[in-house]
Amino acid sequence: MSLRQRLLASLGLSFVALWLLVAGLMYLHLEQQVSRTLDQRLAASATMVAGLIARQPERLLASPPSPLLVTPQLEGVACQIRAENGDIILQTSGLDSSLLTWPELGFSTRQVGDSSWRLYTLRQHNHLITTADRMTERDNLARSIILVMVVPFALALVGGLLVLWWGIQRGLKPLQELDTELNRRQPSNLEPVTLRQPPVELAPIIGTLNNLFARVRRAVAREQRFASNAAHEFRTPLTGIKTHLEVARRVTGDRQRHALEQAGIGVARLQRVTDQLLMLARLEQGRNLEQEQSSATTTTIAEALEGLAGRERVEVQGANADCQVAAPATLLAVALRNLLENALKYSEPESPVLLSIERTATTTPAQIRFLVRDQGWTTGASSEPPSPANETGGHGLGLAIVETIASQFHGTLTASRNRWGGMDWVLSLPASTGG
Amino acid sequence: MHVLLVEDDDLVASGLIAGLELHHCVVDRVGTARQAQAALDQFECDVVILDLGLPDGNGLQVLSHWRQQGHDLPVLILTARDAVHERVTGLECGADDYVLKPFELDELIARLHALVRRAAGRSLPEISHGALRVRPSTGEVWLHRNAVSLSRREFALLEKLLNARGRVLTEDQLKDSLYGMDAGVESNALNVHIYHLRRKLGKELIITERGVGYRLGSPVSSESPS
Repeated sequence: MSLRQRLLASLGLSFVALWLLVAGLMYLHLEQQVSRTLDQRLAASATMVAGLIARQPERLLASPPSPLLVTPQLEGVACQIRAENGDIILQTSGLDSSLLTWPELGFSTRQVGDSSWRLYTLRQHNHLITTADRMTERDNLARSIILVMVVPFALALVGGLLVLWWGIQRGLKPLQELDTELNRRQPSNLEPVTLRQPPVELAPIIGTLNNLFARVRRAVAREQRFASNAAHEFRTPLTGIKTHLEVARRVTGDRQRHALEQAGIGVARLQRVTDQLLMLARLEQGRNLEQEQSSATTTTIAEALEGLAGRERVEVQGANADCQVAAPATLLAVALRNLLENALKYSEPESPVLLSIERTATTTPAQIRFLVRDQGWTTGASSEPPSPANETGGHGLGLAIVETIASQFHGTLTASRNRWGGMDWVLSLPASTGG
Repeated sequence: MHVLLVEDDDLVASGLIAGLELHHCVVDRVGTARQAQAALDQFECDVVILDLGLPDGNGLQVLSHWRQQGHDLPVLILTARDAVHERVTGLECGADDYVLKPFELDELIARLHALVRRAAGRSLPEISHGALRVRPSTGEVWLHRNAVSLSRREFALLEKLLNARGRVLTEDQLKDSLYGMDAGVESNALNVHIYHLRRKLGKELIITERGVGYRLGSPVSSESPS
């Protein structure tokens, strides 16, 4: 059931039930009130007649033996005046004499034939004055009064329901707009949702939704960039292997041997890319290969530099045997090696690359800070260097691994351009508490 | 065909050079955007193979710069990035063709020849000059329907002259097409190749314009020599 239907049903039913209850109570109260008013009319009529007799009693005593008939203009209150001995002195016409025989004093109801009467009898000196109403007339009067009440009441009820429906429609219009906007969207559309004059209550929902869209958009872009970088790193050695094998098929002797050797180098590179991708997958799943969670910087740096192409360009500063990092040595070595490879690639072939290590005790726990600094290209390279957020180079996979290692072991990876026009990559990891 | 290869990856570059040389191409390779710019300022080539991910710049920026400078030589982008928008951007920046890594060597070379052919205003894969027929894609040469064997440099020189269509080419232009950035070329190396070409294909094939350079001679008579 939609929210609108639910609101309409709950509010409408409550509204109708409340109005019906009020109507029922009013009906009962009104009926009693009409009955009481008519009784008062009877009593007032009797009192009025008694007053008339009291002022001119001689005229009543001079009346003939047969009862004097008074014909009223309209159907209404009947009246009878009896002497104390039971003789009828005066009565309205059309009144059955037996009807009012020995009536009780005060109010009473009497059934005569098929009609019911309401009586009021008053004793005045030696006379009994009785006034009477037909119950059917009283009921008709009561119904007429109630009908007059019911029509505006019913109109107000229907009007109220219409206003309720209109109010709910209008109140839920922003939700309807949001629903239409979301339904109209293509699944690939991750642009922010915009509503004309959204109500205050919807603002947090729209804000949250738009934040979510922005996060998904960034995640998709990151995934696409990563996939593109991974594809690049697979395809490049694959191209080398394929080309060299094609050449090897067409030449002989030393040239063929050389082409096959080159293809072998390509296979080794491809294997390394595959290993890195698998390592990244394992890291992202949180499965660490190492049980040991602490490593000494000296051994880690030696492992990172071993067999590194361009090793002679790397200058190490601040390596200290006492520095212990709270991360497995193998993973830390991979991270440092990836940063160094990146720096060696994105800088002048002859320029030095600095790897410096320092311990900062200003934070708790103390941090071990690895800085990898290259000097970029002297001509002011036009391209942006690769970064975790914007990887344009071919080492996106390597940097993604460094980033993942940093986050896995509660560290950070930051990049900034230095004054030589190169990049400063800083990998900070917590120092081992035992170190 | 003289190819300028702009590729930073040594493995890919060495494979491409070996493959292109097998197809009678003269190849000069540079590995950075800066070197690519310098190479194009330094000598003429017939076609450029351009990698996009260069360590000191983006290949597209290099290409845009070349086009702004007025270089209209054919450029083939060779990249591992296959997103459609990257291909479109590459072509919009002035590339003539876009090939993804990994590629078939034969297809790449056929595309390079097609680019050079279109740049020279030809539509057929064979160049005919009277009784002389040359097929650049295979490096085959026929004179009076007899196959003629040419060295790689002789073939490159002949192809350069044929594509010039009688326009005079300076010695430097011809040397560029043969040696590119190879600075250690002997001064008379060009003369030696011209001598060998005249010997194999006829003296009238190459006309010397004294003090200016060389041009293609009149078409070789289609009648077989007696």
